[in-house]
Amino acid sequence: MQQSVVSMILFLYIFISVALLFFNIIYMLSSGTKSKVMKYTIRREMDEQRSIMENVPAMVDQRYRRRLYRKIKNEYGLLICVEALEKNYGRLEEDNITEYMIACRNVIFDAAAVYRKKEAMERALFAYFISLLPEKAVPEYYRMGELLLAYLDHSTVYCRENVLQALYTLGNENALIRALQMLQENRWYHEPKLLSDGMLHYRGDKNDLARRLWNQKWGDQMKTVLIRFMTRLEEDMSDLVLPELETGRNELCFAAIRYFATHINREAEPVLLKILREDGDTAVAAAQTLGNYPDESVKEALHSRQWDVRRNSAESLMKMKFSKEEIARLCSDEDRYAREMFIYVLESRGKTGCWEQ
Amino acid sequence: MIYATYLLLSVSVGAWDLYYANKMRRIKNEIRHDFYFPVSILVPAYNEEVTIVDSIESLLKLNYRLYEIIIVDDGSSDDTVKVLVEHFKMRMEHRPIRKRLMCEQEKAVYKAEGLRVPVTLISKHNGGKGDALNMGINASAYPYFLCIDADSMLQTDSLEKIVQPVMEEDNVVAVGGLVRAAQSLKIKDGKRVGYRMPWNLVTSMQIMEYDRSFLAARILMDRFNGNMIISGAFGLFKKDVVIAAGGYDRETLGEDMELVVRLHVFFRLFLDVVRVTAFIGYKKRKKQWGNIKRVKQGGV
Repeated sequence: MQQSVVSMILFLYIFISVALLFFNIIYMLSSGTKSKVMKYTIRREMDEQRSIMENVPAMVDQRYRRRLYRKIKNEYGLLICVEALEKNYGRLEEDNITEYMIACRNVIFDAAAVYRKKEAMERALFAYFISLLPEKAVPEYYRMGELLLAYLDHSTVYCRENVLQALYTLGNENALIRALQMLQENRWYHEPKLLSDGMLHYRGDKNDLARRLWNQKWGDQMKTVLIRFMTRLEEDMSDLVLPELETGRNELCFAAIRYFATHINREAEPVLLKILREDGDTAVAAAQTLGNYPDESVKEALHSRQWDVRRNSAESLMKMKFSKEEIARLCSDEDRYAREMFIYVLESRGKTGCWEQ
Repeated sequence: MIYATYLLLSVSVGAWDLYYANKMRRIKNEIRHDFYFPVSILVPAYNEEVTIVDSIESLLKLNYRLYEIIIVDDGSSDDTVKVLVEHFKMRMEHRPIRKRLMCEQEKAVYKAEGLRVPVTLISKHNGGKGDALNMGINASAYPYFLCIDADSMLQTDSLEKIVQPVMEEDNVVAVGGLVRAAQSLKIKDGKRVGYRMPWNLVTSMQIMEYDRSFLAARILMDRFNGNMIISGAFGLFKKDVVIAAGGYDRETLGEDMELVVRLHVFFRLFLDVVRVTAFIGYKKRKKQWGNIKRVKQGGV
């Protein structure tokens, strides 16, 4: 009896496996056909978009708008539009695309409302579509930022990333701030690097954005993101970052130290030297940053018990100028580890001799 | 019966996950970034004079902004070191290496000049693959390392794909890639342009087993964070996590599996070992029975 049950189950498995095999064969054949059909459809869409973009107000009539709405309200149609638009970007003048997007504005807003009720995957696609907007069309779509905020709820990391990219494109500061607040309030993890680098694509005034963001209430993780963002900006925001140097909170302190590596500020120097002397975790970053603040104290850090501090100090010393005697002294230091590191960095920079002050 | 159930489940789950992942990518659900995390590629080598230069040349063509290559010669008795030094015009340097993990002493360190990517060659006393990888970890400069075999070839987008899961979740500390036999492929300019089963029965069985393991079993185990292995032919790890766990075991044969199991034990709930389902890494496989035996015995 037991044997017959096992046999039946095994036959069932064999049946399922054979069915899976047939399914796979049919899937492979059909996906080959599907991808050819898709390529053809995209080409046709590209041609249609091109002919309309070259004659925008006349061609974008009520009938076209209704057709466009029917097309983009489902995911497949939207994908075709997106692929065609991406390819047309390289082939048409941006002004043509701008006029087209402005003329279709109402349709796209209507579609945004439809996509709000769809799955996260489809919402992500719509947000990606918005992130393709040309710069001159952005003022007409400013309000889209508020609509996209609703996409963040019950979503995936991909959807959130695409929404953020769309918000950077729209240059809607209020919506972007609200989106970041939602990330923090709901504790949705979003890679800090994606956030800080993504903000560089913000189409509005980035310096203004940075200052406005800084004035909100954030936890350490978001503050770290903001400092990394500010590090890549040209405007000096040392007044905001300097207090964070002394917080003693590692991630924040690391980010602040790296800020002062690119934005030289003499007021930060004593704090950086203090961090270096304390020889904690953040001393590693301080040793590297102090290469831009020539100070004899960096030589002492060559004797640090931390390997990375010794290496970074040696690298920083390469940015300073020394006399022959000083080089010789460092190359024959009693501390074997300091000596080894200094000579290695010296040789790797090709500085076999000395460089005079 | 139990194994049949496991096979069926793994194939079904694997097929579904792959379909879903493909669909997501098609409709722009993926993390795209110009500048991912910097990665150190560790290449342990033992008597690889025939293939090592081609492998390193393929690594230099990866589409990735910031990475370095560290080749660790594990006391080869052939001309592996000589071939590399001559081909890449390397020069010796007196580089101090921070030994956070136990490994044999290095004999010499070489660095290549003028290449797009920093390439370092460390020649050391023989200690096994685990030992060589530990040396590579000690010498690496970046927070993530990718271990590959010296006879592996990577697709040009391999690094980009394997780093993405790390950006998607904060508790991912290791990511495995798909390894396939090179005999089943046609590769052009670092891109896979064709894939078919060869006529040779033994090679075909090897290829099927690789595909079953990577595309089915491991995807199923990922669902429960139960993946016990990330292939040493292509696996990405967070460096400080591996160092905290003690690095690779120098005495064992299956050092890749041993490390992953130890990471599970070490971190318990904090570990998420994830699989990457992409056709990324290819490993040359020979069809002779003799060579299969050598692979089983864990030769480098």
